[in-house]
Amino acid sequence: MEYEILSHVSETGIRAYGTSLNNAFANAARAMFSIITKVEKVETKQKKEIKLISSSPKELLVDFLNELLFYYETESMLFSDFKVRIESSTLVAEAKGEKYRPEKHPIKTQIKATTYYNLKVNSNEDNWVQVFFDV
Amino acid sequence: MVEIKKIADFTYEIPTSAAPGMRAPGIVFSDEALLEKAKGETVLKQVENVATLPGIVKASFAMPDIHLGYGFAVGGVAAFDVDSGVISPGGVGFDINCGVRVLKTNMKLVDIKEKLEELMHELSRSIPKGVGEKGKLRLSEKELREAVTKGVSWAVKKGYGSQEDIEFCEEEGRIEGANPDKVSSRAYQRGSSQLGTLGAGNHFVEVQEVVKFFDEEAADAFGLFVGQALVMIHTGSRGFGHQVASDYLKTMGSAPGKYGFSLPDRQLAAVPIDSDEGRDYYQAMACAMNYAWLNRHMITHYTRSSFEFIFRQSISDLGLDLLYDVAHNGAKFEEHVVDGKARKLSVHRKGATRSFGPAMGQIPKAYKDIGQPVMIPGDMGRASFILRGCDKSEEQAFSSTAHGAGRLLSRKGAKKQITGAEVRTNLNKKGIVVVAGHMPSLAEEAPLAYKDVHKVVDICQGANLSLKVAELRPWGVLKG
Repeated sequence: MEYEILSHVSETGIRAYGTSLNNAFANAARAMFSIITKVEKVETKQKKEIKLISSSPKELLVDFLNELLFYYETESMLFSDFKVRIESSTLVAEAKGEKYRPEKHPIKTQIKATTYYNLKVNSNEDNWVQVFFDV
Repeated sequence: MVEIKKIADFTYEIPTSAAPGMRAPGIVFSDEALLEKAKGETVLKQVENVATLPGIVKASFAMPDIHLGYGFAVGGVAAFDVDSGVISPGGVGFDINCGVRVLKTNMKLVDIKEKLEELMHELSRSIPKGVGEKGKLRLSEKELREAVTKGVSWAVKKGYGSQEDIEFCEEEGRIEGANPDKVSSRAYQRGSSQLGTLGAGNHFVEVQEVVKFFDEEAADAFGLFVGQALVMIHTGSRGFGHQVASDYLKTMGSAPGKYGFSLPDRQLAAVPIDSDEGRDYYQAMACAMNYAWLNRHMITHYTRSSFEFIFRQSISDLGLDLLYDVAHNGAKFEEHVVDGKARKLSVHRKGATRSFGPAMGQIPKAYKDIGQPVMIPGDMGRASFILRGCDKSEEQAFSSTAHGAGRLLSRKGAKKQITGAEVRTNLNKKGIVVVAGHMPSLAEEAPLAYKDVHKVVDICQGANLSLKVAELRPWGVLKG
């Protein structure tokens, strides 16, 4: 399983798994876009490169997802494929996707922002992350 | 299990001994049934968390419609001393100044029923939802900076709406202290094409009917009559506010340690009011509050145009005057009497309505003997209410009351029980016209996902938070 959708009385979250923490971050991003739209319909026509520096892996996760939401809202970009590399406090990622088209990409849920609520990044024995969104 | 005891009618106390670090008790306005439900959730833990914040005055309050949120619970109210207290983006939320307003028509609902379907489609056409489409206004960063500094008066000067739209808005549609330099370029980028857009989720425009009065004198002062058609608008500060919240939640992450206190929840992200971070956040949040008032104001303009188009009459004949506009999410400086002394406080309301009675002032002249209108939307199948602020509310919870019915089920939980198509069919059977951009979101907002708003307003009245004036019934629903 790459990810699962979690429910909270007023909001929505995800838990994403991976063979590595990099992979779990990539799956978290895909899970987020699966909440927004039918992510399997999003083709990888365009690429966005992201570089972020933050104080901890947890903060990096929130920043990374908020960064993607920013491109979604300001450039109408939907993403479905991610490569992530985390080295200490730096995250470098490549996100591939395409521009939103109403006839192709039904919007399921609008996400307002990524929260710090019950935020978890686990990279000890297995790699998984958990994050909730304000919708 | 949270330790909690009844201290008065509809009033329960969580003592400071309930959790480590509580500096004040928790006060929950509720009844036995709703409280029992809350005990099963972590929402009361969130009430306790707020009580640990430095400078909290009197108590961490929970309104009758409380439910689990991020940081503060939704329905959480807390006031902080301006010298020793904190300001918390988690006590305001992402949708800064999400709020509600009501427009009063001169018409009876029964007289417009025939054209209701046509009207709802026209409203849907003229009000951008902002879901994959942009607003009608395109503002440069320079224009937007001016707009969020001046609030509703900026739009009135541009020819949208009238002077009365300023007068009948909380804070006259502009909160003091907005500083556009404290807002990031990302927030301007998100906000530039979203002014006058509804958004998705629980945001809506509804056509409603006044069905019943509880207080004729107040209803008369508010200009209401039984059978009257009203329009209720619920939305907030869109991506502009979400970005301001995200920006400051991020930068405040490491701040509490620097100021010598710790937080039970990172999402609270509190800093002293009297600090650089605290001042910066307030000034940016004030811009977002002004953005939200402008947003509801522009949607009002589109609503009026839609009515003119469908009914072929001018606004002077149709009415559509603003009853009032209230903020649900904000941190505002207010003066309140505490232990017989007037104190300046930062009152955080997250999913709560200000409820000023006549003695508080700062309400339109027409309502000065009645108190401010409080509009409480229920769900799209049952009812909404108009209440009024009362002076006793100051002593109860710094002049605050509920903001809605409060969620009962998660969005996923609601979708498990009902589909969007079923919701539409059920509403149509009641004669309610529904226009929704997206069917699954209709299921998420199904009436069964919400508490019964009748119970919520009865607790508001019983606990002297606000007093019932009129009950409204939905007839036309527009969702993003």
